[in-house]
Amino acid sequence: MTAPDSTVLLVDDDADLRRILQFTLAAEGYEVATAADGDEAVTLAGELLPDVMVLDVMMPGRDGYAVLEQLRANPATQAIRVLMLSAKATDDDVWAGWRAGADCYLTKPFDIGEILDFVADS
Amino acid sequence: MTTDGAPKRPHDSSSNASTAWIVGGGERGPFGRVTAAVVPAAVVLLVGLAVIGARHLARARADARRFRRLYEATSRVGRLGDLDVVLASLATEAAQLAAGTGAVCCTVDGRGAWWGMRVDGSANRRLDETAVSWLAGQGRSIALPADDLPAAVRVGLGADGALLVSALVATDGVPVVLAVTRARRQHRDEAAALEVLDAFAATCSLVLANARLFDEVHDALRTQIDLNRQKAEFVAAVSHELRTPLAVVLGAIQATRRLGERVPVDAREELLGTAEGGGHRLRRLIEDLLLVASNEHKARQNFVDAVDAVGVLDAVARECASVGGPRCHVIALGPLPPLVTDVDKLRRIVTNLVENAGKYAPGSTVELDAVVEGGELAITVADHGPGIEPADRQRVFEPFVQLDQSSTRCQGGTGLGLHLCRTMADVIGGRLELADRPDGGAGAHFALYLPISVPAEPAAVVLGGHS
Repeated sequence: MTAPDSTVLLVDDDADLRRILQFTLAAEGYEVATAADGDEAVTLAGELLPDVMVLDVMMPGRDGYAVLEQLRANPATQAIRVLMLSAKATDDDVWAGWRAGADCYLTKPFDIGEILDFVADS
Repeated sequence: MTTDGAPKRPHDSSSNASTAWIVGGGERGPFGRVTAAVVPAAVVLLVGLAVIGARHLARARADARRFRRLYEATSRVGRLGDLDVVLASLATEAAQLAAGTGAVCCTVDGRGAWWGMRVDGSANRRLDETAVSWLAGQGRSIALPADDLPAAVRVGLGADGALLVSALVATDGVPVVLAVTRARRQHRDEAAALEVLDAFAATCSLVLANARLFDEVHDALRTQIDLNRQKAEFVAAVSHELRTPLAVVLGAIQATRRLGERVPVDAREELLGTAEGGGHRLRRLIEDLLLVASNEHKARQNFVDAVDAVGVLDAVARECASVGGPRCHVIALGPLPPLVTDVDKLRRIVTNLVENAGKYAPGSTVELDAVVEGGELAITVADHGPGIEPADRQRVFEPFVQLDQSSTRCQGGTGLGLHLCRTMADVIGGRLELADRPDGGAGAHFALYLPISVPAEPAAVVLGGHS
């Protein structure tokens, strides 16, 4: 169980979505940081070493898969629990997410309860 | 007969044993006389008949040979392939049929231009312009010595001794001209060879008509497959694009309900405002998608009327000012040549372009102009913003492409604006281009080119778009 003061890193290029998730997670007691693109995500992950990352797939520059690859390649960030969140919703996309090393793959629109459950279970 | 009964010797006493019996008719009876007169005639007749018969037989055999060769040639050229391969094989057969050293087969392409292939030995090559036009101008079947040809045509055809030309210019079929080159003139044979070539030319016409039909069907099928693939891609892209604003709406509402009283009032307001914003994004996206779908619908209707281009630009500038959009400056002054088009679509295109300029070049004045350029009316929308890189200039017109995602998302961009503009431009018979500013400064310069025409009747409903 993640203690309520654990850190969650939110990565999504959509500002509205970042705001909603940040708000909800903060209200549940988690420490929340956000990143708007893949490069920022990798940098912040290295610095903050969050417990959980909610990661969008389609972003300008480095996409979600590339970010995940980086995280898994770095021993420091290897163990971060990653939930992939994406508008890409075909079966192939979901399989790609699992294969890339995601711990969970949710498609948009999502059920916010599922995200909270994942974070709580981490 | 003398009175003493002795046979009178003839004056012509050649004493030829064979003629003695014939001329010594006095010693024979009446039957012998008749026989002697008829037999030589019969022999001459028989010999004559034999000679004539032999000649006829030889000719019949030659005809039979030619027909067989024609038949074989016809059955060999049934295969379809690239048109230049088909022409080359037709020329090869023609050369064999007319016992030539080389041959040429010419026909007309889809746009009505003559072209041809030449074969000699093993080399196939495209016939040059001069030779093609000369052949195309013949219009009849003829045999002539190579010396009678213009020098350039001689070289082009590779004609040395003689040239046989067979021209089939059927009004309801594919025109064909066959030309066979020979080492020297063979007068006896020429008429027959031309006859065979004429017959073969009819076959060539059919074969080429088939080959062209095959090509057209193949192209149409490829276009259809391509269009289907594009549609499938578009549907997938649409589905993807709709998901994110939907996630915003549902996510915000879910968060509000879940957190309930734990959320302070102002925060709740903000969340609900975000939900509403997401809803509006969805609405705009759906509207734009419907526009794209209706533009791609086959029966695209244009309500065509005489349009005052400057008037349209002024109206757009005024509307923009009234909704707090970017500042517009209309450079164009009348009078301009009359424009006949769908005024609503034109206005929408210009408005979209101005809104785009507002998003990507905030603070810049947007310049609207209309000038005559090369027989067309160019309506331009230009700004002084950062402009668009040459590498991206085609991409921006594709659906859902947003070069600067973060800023456009904030302002509710759908990534469909420019795609819509281009589709609408296409529907009204114009084209939308993106270029550098003519003064070399930074900024985007969109130009909509429309044909200038004289209005025929007012307010006609015309099926629009390019076929």
